Amino acid sequence: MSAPQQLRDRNVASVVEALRQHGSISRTQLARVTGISRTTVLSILDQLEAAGFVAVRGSDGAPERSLGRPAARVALKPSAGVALGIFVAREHLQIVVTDLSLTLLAERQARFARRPPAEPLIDLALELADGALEEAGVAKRMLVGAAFGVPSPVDPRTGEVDRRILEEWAARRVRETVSQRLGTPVAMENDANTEALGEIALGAGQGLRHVIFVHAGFGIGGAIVLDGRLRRGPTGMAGELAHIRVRGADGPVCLCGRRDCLRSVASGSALVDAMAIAHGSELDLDRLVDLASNGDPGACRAMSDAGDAIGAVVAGLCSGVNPEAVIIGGQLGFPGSPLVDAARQRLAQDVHRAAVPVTVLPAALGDVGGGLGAASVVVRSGDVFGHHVDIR
Amino acid sequence: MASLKEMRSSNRILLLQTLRLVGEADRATLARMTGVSRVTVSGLLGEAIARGHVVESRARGAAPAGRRGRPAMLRLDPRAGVVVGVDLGHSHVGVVLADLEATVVGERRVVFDVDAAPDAALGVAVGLVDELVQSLGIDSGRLIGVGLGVPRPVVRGTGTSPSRPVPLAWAGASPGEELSRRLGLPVRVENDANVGALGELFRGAARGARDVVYLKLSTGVGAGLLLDGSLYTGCRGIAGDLGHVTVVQNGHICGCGNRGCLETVASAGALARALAPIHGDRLTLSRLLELVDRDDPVAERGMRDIGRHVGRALAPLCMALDVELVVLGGELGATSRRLLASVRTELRKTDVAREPVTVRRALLGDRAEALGAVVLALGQEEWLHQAGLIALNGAAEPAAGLQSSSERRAATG
Repeated sequence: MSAPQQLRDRNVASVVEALRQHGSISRTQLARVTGISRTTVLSILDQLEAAGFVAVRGSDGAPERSLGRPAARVALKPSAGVALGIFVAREHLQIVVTDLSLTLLAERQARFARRPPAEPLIDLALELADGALEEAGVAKRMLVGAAFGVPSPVDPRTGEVDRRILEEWAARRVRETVSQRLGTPVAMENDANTEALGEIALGAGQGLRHVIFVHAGFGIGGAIVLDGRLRRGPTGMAGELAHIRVRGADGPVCLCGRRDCLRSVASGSALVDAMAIAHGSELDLDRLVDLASNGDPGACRAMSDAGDAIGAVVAGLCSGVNPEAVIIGGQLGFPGSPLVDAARQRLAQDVHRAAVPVTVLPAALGDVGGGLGAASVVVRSGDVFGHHVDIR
Repeated sequence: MASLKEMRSSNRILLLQTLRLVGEADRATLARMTGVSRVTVSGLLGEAIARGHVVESRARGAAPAGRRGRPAMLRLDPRAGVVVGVDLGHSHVGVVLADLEATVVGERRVVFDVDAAPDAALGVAVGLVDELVQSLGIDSGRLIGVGLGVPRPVVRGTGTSPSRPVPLAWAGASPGEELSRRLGLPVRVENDANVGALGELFRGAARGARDVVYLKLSTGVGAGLLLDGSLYTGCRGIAGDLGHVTVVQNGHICGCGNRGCLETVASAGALARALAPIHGDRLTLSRLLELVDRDDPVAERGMRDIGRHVGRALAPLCMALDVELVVLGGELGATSRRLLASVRTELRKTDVAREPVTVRRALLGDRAEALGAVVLALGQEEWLHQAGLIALNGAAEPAAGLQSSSERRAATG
């Protein structure tokens, strides 16, 4: 992509994101909040309006100036298009349809004991997508884009996923197939990245620009948002926290062949293993969460130990990254979770005292976060709207 | 609709930004790259040449036989403005003057106890700037602004430092505002490790890299982060303050109130403490450097241990941010092979699935900060705008980052 095109997409994405956040807003304010020159904002708005994504409203808001006519306001036309989010998890597949303001219009889920290979999974996803679009009452041609959240890093150089994790996935072919069958552009993003974007758009991270997100579920994932933008890194591995070493944990050997990886100490799978002696091998993650929620001391202890380890690792990153908040999601990161509480305590103790205190928050979107996050990848994407806008 | 004047101004922006990015181009190329008509391009460039902001030159190399000469090339005139880089260390004051392409036109450096008298240190800096401007015969009207590096974290917005754990002599003072008042120029302040990182990116060990941690190891520890080719400073400007990452469980209590911070085990003071039983307790930084330099086995061991701690503090950050290069700078960081090897070993122990992080020694020595301060100043588009050198575009502009045309060329060349 050429530099002007990238700049255009970034500017368009900023304008759309600001419209989504502010509802209806005057053009002058829009230029101010995006930091983009007024001329550019006007040109982008004109073209988005011509493409039908933006509506100009009369001066229905409070007068912006004390003299003269109040400024006209512009707003996204939520109904001008829909986004499709496809979230691929270990044991389920989630499809959401949202409008351009990320309001959930329909949702579909399928659960499986073991994730099917790529082809049948895509077929299933498309079938669910058809159902969801029907329920939402929108035609396929209204799709502005679709995005996958997948449990693998996505290499920005090749667009490919890690095949050791997603066997048989040729990401480019998956994107092409789905794009062809839906008639819309398709993006692919790491699962924790999509969850983080969802939390920032609609959940615990609304209004935040610098965030470390931790996915504490069966595995450990993470995402880093810097200055409102996802940090992917040159190889797409940014935000991957699973194999960061926990200091002095002296724990089990990890799949990667080293000891004390965060994953081998604090992932849901490690917790289930740790609980097996007391609770038998029948215990699964859902049950563990139930036990902890009912105050079972063993389950609470396991979760708070995991939170302590997560807190220690994230504290080591906070001095480097200087985030406003740490958001913990996944099955183990919910309001009131002993894991979140323990992580908060560890961070309070370890983070450089002169730094701003880092807020630790549980994710707020729960089950639907992954799908909504994937949909937010679509509406945040500059190129979805960008190709309606000429570079001037 | 945009007015004609606005259109013209936005085209001018586009042209000058493009020149700044590509360094040099002919009129036809500029028209093609910007999508602005040839006629408009020529008109706008004529104005810019008349104002002394753009210069025109014949391309190097002879014209191919039987053809007309190559078209005239245009570039921003580097001498249209001068920026100042000021480096305040703990014990020195350095000043560099450079043109718009960051070519150094003059520099001075004096030993001064900055920690003891920060205000006086600013006076010394002002004196050095005046002296350079006079001796070089620079028209002071061409001075655009100042990049200032200070040896402590800088909180964004206020330009001050958090009150702990830095020495109180600096607390609350805003050296940027004060220097700006005394010089009558705009000043942008950054932490020394951040400007050092910019210096190494621009013409040192990080040239051509985009995702870098520059670690400065000296009397203290600090780091500067370069992400996607630009300085990253975090939500309040204090990203990269690695001195207080916990690296030793239940370690020594640090000045910040935590235990086992990197600074308690990886700094000149920590090395001096480790070496004291063998070499006595009057080890100055220069004495330590001398011991390291002549491969004293005790100092070697000390540096290896420091490297291990540094590597442990860096590994999570490198993994979480997907960083490709670590540059070790500062008096202690840039000198020791043992340290380099030991940091490298520790970083290789990170996730096996990843490409290993490259570790290099810094190349610019004690000039990194002052040169980086120049790059910092040149990144302030609004100053260039105020000086009438460029029109200003929105903040979302990539050119509003820190890469000037010369940096870009340095990065690719």
